[in-house]
This record gives sequence, structure tokens and C-alpha cells, in this order.
Amino acid sequence: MKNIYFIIVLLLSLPMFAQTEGMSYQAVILNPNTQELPGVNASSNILPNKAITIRFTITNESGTTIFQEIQSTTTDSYGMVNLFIGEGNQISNGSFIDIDWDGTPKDLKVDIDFEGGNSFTSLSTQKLTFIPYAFYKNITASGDLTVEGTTNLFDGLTVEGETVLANLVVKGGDDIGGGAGANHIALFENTNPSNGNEADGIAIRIQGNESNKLGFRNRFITFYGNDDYVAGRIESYDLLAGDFYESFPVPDFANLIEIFDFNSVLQGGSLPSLTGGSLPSANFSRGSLPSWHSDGTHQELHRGSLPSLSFNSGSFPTLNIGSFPTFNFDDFFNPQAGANAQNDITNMVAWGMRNGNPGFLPTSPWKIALTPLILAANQIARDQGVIYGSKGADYAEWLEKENPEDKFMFGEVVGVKGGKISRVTEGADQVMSISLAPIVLGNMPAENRKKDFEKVGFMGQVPVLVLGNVKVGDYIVASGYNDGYAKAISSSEIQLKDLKAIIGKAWTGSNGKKANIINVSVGLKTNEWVDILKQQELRLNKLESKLNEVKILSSKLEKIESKLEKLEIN
Amino acid sequence: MKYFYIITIVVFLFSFQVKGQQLMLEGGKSLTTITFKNSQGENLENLQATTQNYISVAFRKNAVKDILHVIAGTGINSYGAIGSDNAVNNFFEWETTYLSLFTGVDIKMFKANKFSFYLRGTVSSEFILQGSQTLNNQVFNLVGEEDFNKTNFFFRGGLVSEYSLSESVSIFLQYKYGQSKQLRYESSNINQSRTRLRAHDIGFGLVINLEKKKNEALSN
Repeated sequence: MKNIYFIIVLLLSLPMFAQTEGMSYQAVILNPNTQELPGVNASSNILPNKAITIRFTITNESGTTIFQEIQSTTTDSYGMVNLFIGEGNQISNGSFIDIDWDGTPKDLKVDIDFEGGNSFTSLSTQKLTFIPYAFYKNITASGDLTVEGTTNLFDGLTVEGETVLANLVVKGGDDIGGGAGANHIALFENTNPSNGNEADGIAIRIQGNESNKLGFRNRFITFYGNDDYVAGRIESYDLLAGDFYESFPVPDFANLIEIFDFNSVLQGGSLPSLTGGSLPSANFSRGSLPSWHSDGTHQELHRGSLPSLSFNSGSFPTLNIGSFPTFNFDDFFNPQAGANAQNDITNMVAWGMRNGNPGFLPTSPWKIALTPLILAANQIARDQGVIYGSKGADYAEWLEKENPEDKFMFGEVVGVKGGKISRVTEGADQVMSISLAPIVLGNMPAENRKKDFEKVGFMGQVPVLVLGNVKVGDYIVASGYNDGYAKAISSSEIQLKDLKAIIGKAWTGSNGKKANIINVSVGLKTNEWVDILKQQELRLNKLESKLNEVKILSSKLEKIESKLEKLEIN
Repeated sequence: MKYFYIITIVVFLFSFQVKGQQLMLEGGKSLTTITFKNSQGENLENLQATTQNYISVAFRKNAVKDILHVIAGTGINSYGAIGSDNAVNNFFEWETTYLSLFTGVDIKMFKANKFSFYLRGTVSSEFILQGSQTLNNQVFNLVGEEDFNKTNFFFRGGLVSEYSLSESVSIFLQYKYGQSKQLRYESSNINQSRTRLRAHDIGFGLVINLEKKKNEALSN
């Protein structure tokens, strides 16, 4: 037994952290020599405080050495050595980090020498277990991988086949997915552009449950701010696939109709009526014009007579006040129909709560009656699509500054000439304002040219800097001073000359002489032409009335002229 | 070795045939230990003594003018030791029991009233009856082990204080020190390992004067 070396391997192959590429090897070295005692000698004694040399050899499945190194160390007072395989004097051509941990069997052979590195004796040969495989590259596993702790991925991740993610949270700094300064935490990029059939992007497809009752709230991308503040959301729905409306619990309208019986509530009674009487009438005598008679010798002037007007007063009709009906509420309320209707309404309200109250939830008998029509209309109009939800409320585009040095603040009024913006609104093609938070932002320039562009609101609600009092519904018009401000003009005062400077209509108001940010609807139908046309119509009506008066006067003059002609003839 | 047995037998027989024959019964405690030197000549350190028992029975015969007495007898002696090696965390303990055949002499130095004082020297040949060795958490049987199985020659010397209770009966108190002869001397010149047993015996005994009883029996 003297020449047989015993080694107790206590702990082998613990994976190290990323900064140390090696496997820990811990063993208690036993003295190869027995201790002579009276009687039976003691063998397997520990070997404390002894300089030894250990040779580690890792072989592959065929027994070929793929890594070998030598480490010299000294046992501690308990005969223990603590080493890191991979940190010794490399003998093999390949280093430890070159080992291909591809899942094929590998053995660790340990030789020990007590004589200064010249006489190695085989100590042990053991299979490397899964622990070192978990640390190094090319992990190949045919079973399941269960990770309860943190999983850090520092390189590519390819997911193939069916993958179930209960709740995937991707967090990180700027350098994840796109390198430093990428300003995003995930990048979905097709790195094989030569294949025309591949594309970048994220596809979301969620199958319905057993009853196919998934709504657009099951397919979405939501953008959160701090404290779960929802900044924006993109939702998709597919009504044809059974989303949303098909799950609506359509009530039994017969129940709703039969709840109350109005036919027998009013009994008897008659409406008031008028009998007899006559309307007043007017008697009008035109009178006669003065006339002149001459028989050659006598000349006689007849004075004529003045027009006269008299009225017949007529008579008042006799009023029959009628009689009030009597109310009969017997059998007015049908309790069974009421209970059934209550169940129907309860189901509808519950559906509305489940689906976040889509807005058309019928809450009155009239709406309930229209529900089938509303549903049908919604089905036809919006079978499939995408909803963009955002706190922003306008569609805007990047427009180039006429003077790149100009600095604009949101809400400032700008004039657009030839597609370029400035504060000069006189002679501008359009008058618009700088957008604050558009829901859609088009014409995005290159990143290095953004300073030469500014976001301009095209359609929707945009903030506008307005001076003075503003009432809801006023037209918001460029101030005319090319100062970036607007002013409010009421619909009764809008004029044709203001049309070209109209930005939109105020949806909020303000009091005071200071400038305020007013929420203005732009790009929508503001009906300013209606106000102008009303003014024009009013003027035309006045002109027409004057013209009619002139016509009447002219007619009278014609008649006078005719009379005078007759007098001259006589 | 055979001379030892011859001498022992002769003395034993002589004690029955010569006048002045006495029977000695003795028992006591032995403070025993083992010394060991391995094959490299290194001593095994930190071996501590253990307390054992011994008993013996012997015949003593006056040989020369009530000064020199020869002794022959047999007894049971136990030896043991305990120790540890802290460097390698080893613990060991030995417990052995031997059958002893011994012979020796008592030399009376002086007598005061009823007290007689002797110098006693014995040599014994001892055969292991049982023995065990504990090594950490293992126990081994020492019967058959080379270090303990061979005949153990033990040399002892000491003092005896004897008090005469009557003409036929005396009691005595004795102290002896002894050690065994090297047991593995014959193995090889290279192998220098050596095991020795050492014992300090303190005992109390009874001496019965057989001759007087015999005379009394004849007179009766």
C-alpha cells in the first residue's frame, strides 16, 4: 500500500465567475507512506504542509488530450489543496478557454508528484459533469433548462420552435442590442439582408382562447412612463376572428319592451279645441288722384279723394278646454319582464366592465334598441385594424426652417412658404403652429439634420400661443406681426381677409391679456366659410330688401307717371 | 530462550524439594507504556502511560542462609499505552494481556522486628493472550501482529517490604520496574524498528510458609 497514493477529492469543478476562466479543484492529499506504529501501521494519513506538483489533463471522448497543465502547490495544515484548473503552466497546445464544451463526454485526469515534478503518479480519472459545461460555450442539452436565478446573455440569442414566455421583461442600458448610444434596449435586426425573404420586425400573434373571445386588449404594445403612467399604446383587433363584439350579450328586446305597458295608462279625456270666431278683415279704398277737366271754356279741377282703410274687428272663437284624462297604472309594470331585463342589463354592464366600457354600451332603452344596428355598423366599418393610442393629439411633420438659426417653441405660429417655415405669416402659403407631442410625426429628417427642422402640426389638436382673450369656438388667426403669436377672432367678426391667416378653432379659452397656450384644432373643418357666407347672405338680404323697396317706389312712380300722362291727354 | 525455560523449570521443581518453601500470591496495578522507534530510527512521540492490573502466584525458596531466595511462578500482566499524532490527526491506543512465566531472586537486605526488606529481580517470558489496537475509529486485533505476538522477555527489579503476621503468614508490599526486551531485533539490520513495553508495578501480596504448615501437619 505504500506506493499507492490516495486522494480524496472533496470538491471538483465548480464554475467560476466570468472574470476567472477555470474550474476550482479542491482535494485533501493523503500521505502515500504509512505511519509505522506498534502493531498495525496507520495508512491514509493526511499530508500536511508538503510541496507537491499536480498535473491536470482533460481528454475528449476518444482519449485525446485537449488540455494539460502543471501546477505546483503546498498542502495546508489539513493536507488540503485549492487550485484553479486553467491557471497553471500550460503544457498542451490548446489553452483552457479553447476547450470546446460541446456536450460530448470529457474526462479529467489528475496526476500527482511528491518529488519535485519528475515522478508523476496517476491519481484519478473522472468524468467532468454538467457544472463546467454550464459555464463555457456551446452548451448542448437535450433536456429542459431551468434557471431560477438571473440569466445574463452577453451575445446572440436565437429562439427556435415553440417558446412560452409567461412574462418577459427586457431591461438594460443604452448599450444593449445596438451598442453604445443606441438609446434602445432591444434591437430586432435581420443580419442576413442577402436573403430577400427575411425581414426585420416584431410579429405579434395571439390565438384566441377556447371561445375565441380575445379583444384588442390582448394584442398591444404599451409604452409606460414612470409609475406605470401609460404614455401610448398600439392595439390591434380582429373582429372577424371573434374579437370583442361577438361576445356582447345581446339582450332579449321583448323583455325590455314588455316592462311597461303605456297603452292603458291614459284613459278618457279630450284635448282643448276652438270653435267659431272670425279673423279681423281690412277694407281698403285706394282713393282717387286729382284731375283736371276742361271743355274749352271752363276749366275745372277735381280734387280727388284720399285712400281710406277700415277694419272689421271679427269675433273671438269659443275655447273648449277639453277634459283631463285619468291615469290607470294597473298592470303598467310587468315584474317578470323587469327581472329578465335586469338580468340582461346586468350581463351587459358586466361585459362593459370586462372590456373597459367601449363607449357604446347601451344604458337606455333607446340605445338598447339600437344596439344591434350599432354592432352591425361597427362590424362592417372596423373588422380589422390597428388603433394608435397616445396622449399626443395631432399629426405633424418635420418642416425645414427657412433660417436654420431660428429657435422655435411649441405653440408658436409659423408661416409656410415653399415648404419652409418662419415666423413671417404675411404672404405665407399656410399658417400653422409648432407641435408639442404629435401622435404621428412624418417627414423625419436625418439625425444630424434635425436641428434644421421643426415639428409642425398638420391635423388634430395642437397648442398655439395666443394673445388676449380667447373663447371656445373662436377662430385662431396669426397675429399679423410675424411674432409667432396668434389672436382670437369670434365667428361673428371673422372676415374674408382673415381666412388665409386662420390656424384653426379654439377648443379651450382664456381670460386676460397675457399669452396663453390654447388647444386649437387644426386641419379640421372649421366652417369659417359658413360664417363668411352668412355675413354675405345677410348683406345680400339687406340689398335685396333695399332693391325691393326701390322696385316698389319705382312702380309707384310709374303709376304716377301714367296718371300724369293721362291728365295731360285730357 | 530454551535456557530460560530450563532454569525456570529447575527452580520451580527445586522449590518443591528443598526446605523453606513459601507460596506467594500477589496482585496490583501496573503503570505501563510502550516506546516505539520506527524503521528510520525515529521515535513515536506523545505516547502516554495507562494503568493496568496484574496478578501472579509463585513459590519462593530459601536458598542461602535466609538471605538469597529463589522465585518461580506465573502470572497475568496487562500492558497498554495511549497517544496521538497531531500532525496527521491520528489517535491510537493499545491494550494487551500476557501470560507470564517468571523466575527470579529475593535478596534480604535487613530485618527490623517483623519487617523484612528484600531486593527482588525477575525475568519472565510472556505470551500474549489478547490484545487490541485502536487507530482513530478502527480497532485491530493484536494477536498475530509481529510486534506483540512474539515471546516477550521482561526484566524487572524492585523492592519488597514484608511484614510477618505470624510464623506462617506474611504480607508484603512491593514496587518493581521493568521493561521488555526488543521484540524485533532479529528482523533485519536495516529495519531498526523496535517496540518496548515498560511497566511500574505496585502490588500487595501474601506469603504463606508452606514448610511450617507441613511440619505442623506432621506433628499432628
